[in-house]
Amino acid sequence: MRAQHWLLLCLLATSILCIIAQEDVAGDANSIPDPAAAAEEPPTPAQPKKAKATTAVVLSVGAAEAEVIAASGKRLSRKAADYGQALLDGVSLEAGASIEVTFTPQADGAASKPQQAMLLLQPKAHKGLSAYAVAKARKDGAHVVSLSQALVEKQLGSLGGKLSVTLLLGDPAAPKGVRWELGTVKLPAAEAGLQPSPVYRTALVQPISNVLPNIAHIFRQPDKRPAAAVSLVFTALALAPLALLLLFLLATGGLGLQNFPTGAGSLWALLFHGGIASILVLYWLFWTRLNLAQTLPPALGLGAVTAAVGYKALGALADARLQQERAGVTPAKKGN
Amino acid sequence: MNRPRKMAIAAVVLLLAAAMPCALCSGKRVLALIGSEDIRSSHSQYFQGLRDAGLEVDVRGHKDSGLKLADYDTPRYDHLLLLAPRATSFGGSLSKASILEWADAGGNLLVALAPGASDLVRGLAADLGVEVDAKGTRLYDHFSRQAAGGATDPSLVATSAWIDSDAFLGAARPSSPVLFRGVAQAVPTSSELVTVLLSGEATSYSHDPTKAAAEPPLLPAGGAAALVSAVQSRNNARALVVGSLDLLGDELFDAAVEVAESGKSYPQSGNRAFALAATLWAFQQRGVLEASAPRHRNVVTGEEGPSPYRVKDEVQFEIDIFEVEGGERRPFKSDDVQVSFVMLDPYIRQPLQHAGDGKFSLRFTVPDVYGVFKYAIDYHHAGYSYINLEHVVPVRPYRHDEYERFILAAYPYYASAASTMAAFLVLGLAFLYGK
Repeated sequence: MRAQHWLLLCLLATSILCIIAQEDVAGDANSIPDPAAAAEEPPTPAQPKKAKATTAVVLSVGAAEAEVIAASGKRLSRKAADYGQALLDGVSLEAGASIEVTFTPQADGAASKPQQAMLLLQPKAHKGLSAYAVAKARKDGAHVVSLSQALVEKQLGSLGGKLSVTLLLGDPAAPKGVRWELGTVKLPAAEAGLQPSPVYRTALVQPISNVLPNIAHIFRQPDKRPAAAVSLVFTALALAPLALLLLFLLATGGLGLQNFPTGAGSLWALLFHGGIASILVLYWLFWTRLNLAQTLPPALGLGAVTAAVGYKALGALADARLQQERAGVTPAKKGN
Repeated sequence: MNRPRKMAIAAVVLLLAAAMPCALCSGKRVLALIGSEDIRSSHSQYFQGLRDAGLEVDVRGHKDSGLKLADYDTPRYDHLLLLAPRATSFGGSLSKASILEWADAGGNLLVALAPGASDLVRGLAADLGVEVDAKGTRLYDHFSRQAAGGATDPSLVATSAWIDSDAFLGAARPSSPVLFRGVAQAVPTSSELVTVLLSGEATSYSHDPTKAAAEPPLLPAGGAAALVSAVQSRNNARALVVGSLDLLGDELFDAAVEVAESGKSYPQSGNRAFALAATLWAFQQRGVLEASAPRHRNVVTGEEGPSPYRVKDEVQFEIDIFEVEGGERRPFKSDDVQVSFVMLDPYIRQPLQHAGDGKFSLRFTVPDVYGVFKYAIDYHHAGYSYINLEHVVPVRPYRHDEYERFILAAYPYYASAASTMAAFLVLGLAFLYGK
């Protein structure tokens, strides 16, 4: 029994000592550390993972430094700024060039290695897109992160213009993260026609439908045609010989029909010429409204009738001429 | 007689094709598999919400013997709710393969994940087309996280980055941030069938505390960390992959939200609104389209379903599209339904016009190219069921007597023919009977 009491007393004493030591180091009165854990680990904030159950750490960052490195590896310029001030002031980032940002995260004033130490890059022209660059810790506690066009392109596709740069520090042990708006960098303009193409879908930026560009068919242009006046003039020209012929015949009395037969011959002549005229009319109908199957039967019929009637009519004419010759009357000879 | 019949058969086939996935969409039977008995009580509001929406939820342990999704080819359940992220095997005849086979037949699925999800459940998500971040990781956000009641856990993330889509979430959006505790997913932009419904805020990232931080783009960070993603397979079966089992639980349904960095507070989280809306989408209660009665006619002659078309005909294509929400059918309204008139390449691709009554139409002039064309509608809009149909219509050239007649430019030729004929007649008369 007595031994147990002593053991308990000793434990109590060590735990009180531990609490005092912890408070001295961490300066945080809120936490109630587990004596076993406190005894095991050195109370450095560099290991926030284990400390998260015990202490509430305050994350901070002092100053940061930005160095522009050309594609050739040459270090071009260097700038430093304190927390809260703009570090990057629209620096142009040529292809191949990079910017190295160096900063030292601190937990409760001592250099630390928080779980989240990254730069958030948000293009100003494309809302909702963001790229990230994760900082790497050096041995001395400083963190270095490198920004380049290639880094953004790998995440968001081709993209140009201004990006806002924000430093994010966070750790499970620290109830508050640190956000520092570092300013902007400028990427060379993207090739014309290229849109950003993020590697991953996000709820706010993702293709929503498969709408494709509209297509309208372009119809073949009809052949060019002459003006109406030209067509009409040439129509008149084509009709001119007929008009001239009619004028000539009227002038010479060729249309007088003086020799038109009389009697039965006149009937055959009328039928013969009527037949020819109706064949010509049939031609015209064929061109304008009939098809071949409709045209051929009447054409055959009309042709046969006209041929038969023509035989009679011309025969009658020849007979009439023969009679006149026999009668000794020489008919007026016509020029052939 | 033949043409209208053919058209009718085509319409019936299309109707069947459109209705097939919907044979299930009216289904209400949900099998909920829970990883532990606690979930019955810890997720009771979620189950109640589903029951209020008219679903019949059958809650069973994931190891129950006699679990069965289908009797031969007849499904026993229409929807599967998998709330067992740590399950390494299932009871009865259930397995990953049988679940996927059932989903191929049109079953809808919700898979809830959590940090420490088993390979089985991760594999199921992967087979649905969603990459879940490596084991051991979880989503952190030190800026946009829950701070109500002095909470400091950076893995209880508050996010308002949900998709702005009526199809998924209905007309109302959650009025306050959604709380999430779980694993992130990554959905490549190229995955056509997956849509991200909920993402992390720009300050979030996925991380495994025992390992060094990954480099982007391998590191899911910000919006690229998908928290809830929706899959709609080509047969219109749906699946939802939720990275957090807790998102669906009563604790976060009722939680007040205070965002750590901004200090903004809300009396209640948006979890209930978001979770129920997304689940109802996954279980075909929203965003289901029914396309029916594709038809076309010649505008000039009024002939219905003419075949073949003649080049340069003026025709009109029409189709009825209705949206079914919770069993209620109403006209679909959208300006991005395109129809194309295709012979190897699309000759015409135009959006269908609609007057708000569900009748979509396009009037156009048939191209001056002849051959075998087809109408094609391939409508993929995130959240709506796909419309995919084709109808073949041949196009013929003008017949010899269908070209233009009596061209003014040809009048000289007509005139010369006529004058030759007239001259023949007149000359004949003059020669025979003239002086």
